[in-house]
Amino acid sequence: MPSGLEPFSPSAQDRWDVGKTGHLLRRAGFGPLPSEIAQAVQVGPDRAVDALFAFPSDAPSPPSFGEIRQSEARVDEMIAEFIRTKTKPNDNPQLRAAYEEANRAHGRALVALTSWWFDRMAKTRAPLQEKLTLFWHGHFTTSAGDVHDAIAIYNQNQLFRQFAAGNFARLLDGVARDSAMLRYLNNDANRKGHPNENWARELMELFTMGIGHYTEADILESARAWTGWTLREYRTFEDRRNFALKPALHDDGPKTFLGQSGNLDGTDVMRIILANPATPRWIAGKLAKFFVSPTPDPDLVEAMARQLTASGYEIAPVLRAMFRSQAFYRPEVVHANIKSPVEFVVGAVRHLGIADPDWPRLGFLAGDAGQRLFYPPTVKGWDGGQAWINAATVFSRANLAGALLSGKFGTPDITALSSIETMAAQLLQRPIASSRKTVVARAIKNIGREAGIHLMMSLPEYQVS
Amino acid sequence: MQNMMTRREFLTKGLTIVAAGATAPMFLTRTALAINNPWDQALTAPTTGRLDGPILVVVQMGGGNDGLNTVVPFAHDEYYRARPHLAVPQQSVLRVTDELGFHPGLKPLKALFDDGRLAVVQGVGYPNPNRSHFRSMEIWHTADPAGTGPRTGWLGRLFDSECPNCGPTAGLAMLGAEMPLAMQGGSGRAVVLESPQAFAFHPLAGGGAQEVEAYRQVMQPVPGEEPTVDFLTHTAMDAILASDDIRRVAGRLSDTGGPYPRDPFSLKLRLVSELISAGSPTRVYYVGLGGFDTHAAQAGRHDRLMEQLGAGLDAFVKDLTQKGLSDRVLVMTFSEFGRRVAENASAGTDHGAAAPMFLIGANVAPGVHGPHPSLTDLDQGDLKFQMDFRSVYATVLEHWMGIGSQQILSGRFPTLEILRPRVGVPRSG
Repeated sequence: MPSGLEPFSPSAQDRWDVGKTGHLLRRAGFGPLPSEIAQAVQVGPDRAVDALFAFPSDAPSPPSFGEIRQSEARVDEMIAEFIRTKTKPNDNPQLRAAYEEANRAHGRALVALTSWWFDRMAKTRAPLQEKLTLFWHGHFTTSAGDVHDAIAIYNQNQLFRQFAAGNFARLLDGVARDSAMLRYLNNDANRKGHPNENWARELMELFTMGIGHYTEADILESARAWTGWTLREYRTFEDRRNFALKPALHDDGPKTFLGQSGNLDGTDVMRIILANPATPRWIAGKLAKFFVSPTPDPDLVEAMARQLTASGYEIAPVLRAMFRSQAFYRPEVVHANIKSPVEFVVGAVRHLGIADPDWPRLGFLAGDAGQRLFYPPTVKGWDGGQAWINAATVFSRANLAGALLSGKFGTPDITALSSIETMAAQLLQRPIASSRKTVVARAIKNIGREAGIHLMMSLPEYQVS
Repeated sequence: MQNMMTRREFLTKGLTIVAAGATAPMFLTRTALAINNPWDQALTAPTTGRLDGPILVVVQMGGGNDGLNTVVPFAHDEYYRARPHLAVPQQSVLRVTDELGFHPGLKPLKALFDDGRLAVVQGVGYPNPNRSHFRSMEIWHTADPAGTGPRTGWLGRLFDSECPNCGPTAGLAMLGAEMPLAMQGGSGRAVVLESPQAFAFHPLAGGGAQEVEAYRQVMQPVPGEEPTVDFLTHTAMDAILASDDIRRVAGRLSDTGGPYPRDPFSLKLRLVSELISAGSPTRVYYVGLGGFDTHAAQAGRHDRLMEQLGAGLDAFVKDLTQKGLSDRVLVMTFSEFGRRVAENASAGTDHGAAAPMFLIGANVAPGVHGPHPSLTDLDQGDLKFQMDFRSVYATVLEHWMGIGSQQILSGRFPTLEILRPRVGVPRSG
């Protein structure tokens, strides 16, 4: 076993207990419940970690896009008619109205899609699959603000879910052909003689290698290699959701990329990038930051990178080793992460037993707290860690918890939270500091049980993961 | 368990608390002895009174604004050759000199220019331009192109060194939910503000003042906690104090400003104007307008952004003038980089380098400062910078804020003749 990933073995001094399993399930999921934590203690570390990877094979049924299909069909028909009669639509008011209706249908569907994903995060039997889907969404970013197409965004989300713990090389290939990404980073418009560098740059800077391992010339040569990786010719809306390789738009001349020369295309660029040692380090580092600590141990990252390389970029084995490692359970790592707003909302809904939450509104409130699903602020995604917390978001989280408790977004069931001890066990998964316990106890006595829960969900201990 | 102290108590007893460190809010933990400088008024000025210190409003144009289509070199054929689809036609340029003019969407800024209240600084950038959004934005925020200094922001360092007793609202960021790196320093003297109403702990129905007090108490730091928890408690204490400040001001907010456009950028500027007139002790406001990363189909998008920028700043300046506050406020616009000179195949432009900055206020030396960068002598297809942005920062710090810039910028950068001295501010040599 390489150094950095030595497995954790329980001992009398260092038990496999609720502290360890709570940490594991917080990182690998959303707001674990005491019963789930106890179950993981009982089965031991191997089986607890194995259970995380039992992903369902069936794809979840998507929200209905019927309204979109109808409104798009109307536009498609008009366009077909213009093509048939060879007339220019110029500023045709019916066409414009039909377009605007399709746009509105996409807006409504994006809200429905957000709710669908939130609900899945809260209810799935395989939370790690959704956690990884969220990780890839923040890594291979696309904003629905730029790609206002609920179906394309859904297709991308399913790609992330399908390869959540799969093979990174195959995921990358899927992303390179993904219509939402092709549009977001303009590779759909990258053609011979007129390269558009947007995708080529972010592919290296953010998605695979990290800054400092390539030159501006490499970006330009890569952009040339990606010419012609585009979408079907635009006759219907559906064409914009389908990848097409167009040889006529591809620059097949000689190129030199990261020291390798030839008539390279996108496939070659991916092969060269994946063979570069910067890539497994970058991916391992991002996974470790997300799952372990904002400042992960370099030995751990290095060991994860080596394993990624050795396995041909299989994600599951490296994550499994990470979740089993001593490094993952070190005291300085436990509680070192901060829940993202989406994690906070999903966990709070689970903790408060809200069966039918008002996800559309909760989705916007998570946005106010700094994370709106499908709308990352920039192509870099969300910074995470301490960046989630500032004077404004401290309040937005506490107020979100209060609004959930008040029943504004669905009916809570807090019968299990009957005492300060059960509250601490369910919400914090750790004992509460004695000075705070006194204050919370007094609030429960003088104001009521809900106030105690509200205070506990406002505590710093509830914000950390 | 002691009750949470008031801010005033903190400031009067502050120095004894500093020794205790762990239980003081972040903005006091590194407090030096009070220095009576014009910046440090937290001790001397009642928060309800009208302050009269200089105020800086930074406008960040995120994504890389196309400087060439903002201040257009209409007299240069090379510009039209490089941009057959995207160049602003000569007849629509709002001419300000024989060779330069504004984008037609900036009509209101042209009026400010003619009125002597707007200065353009040409070709601003830094050596070895970085074409990554994030790295370049980081360089502008830290004022540290080499990346060798501490990862703090230039405004954060300004608060640390010049404003040791300022409260936590010395800086207000309205950029979204995140605190811009520019305002991060060794101590929390800046907060993110999206809405004054939301900037408070809301008790449950029936919780009332009792629950608010309990919240203050549970957020007190406990010695020996994990670093992340400790960071959260300190941030929360800053938030509670800032919330008191903001709410005092919010109680006096009046919707008296002139008409503003309804977009988020303009509404943020309206809130800035409201906060200034309500007597907020804030010295630097940070406002963002995003969407400038125009790799494709740039024309309509960039036109709309220019219109938004122009209309928003115009409403803001008119509002301040009407309130008699325009002498106190300087607006500075910037973007992380400009765009490439030649357009790309997608009727857009790729990441570039140097670009113009705007300074707007009563004290600017109006006009266009610096020659237009050459359109033929390029660096990898980009304009070569001719003005280091740190010189612009140094000028703002010294001639507007009236404080030394060398320590904040880790070096001496020549100041420019782009601001007229404010009354009482000595001109540095």
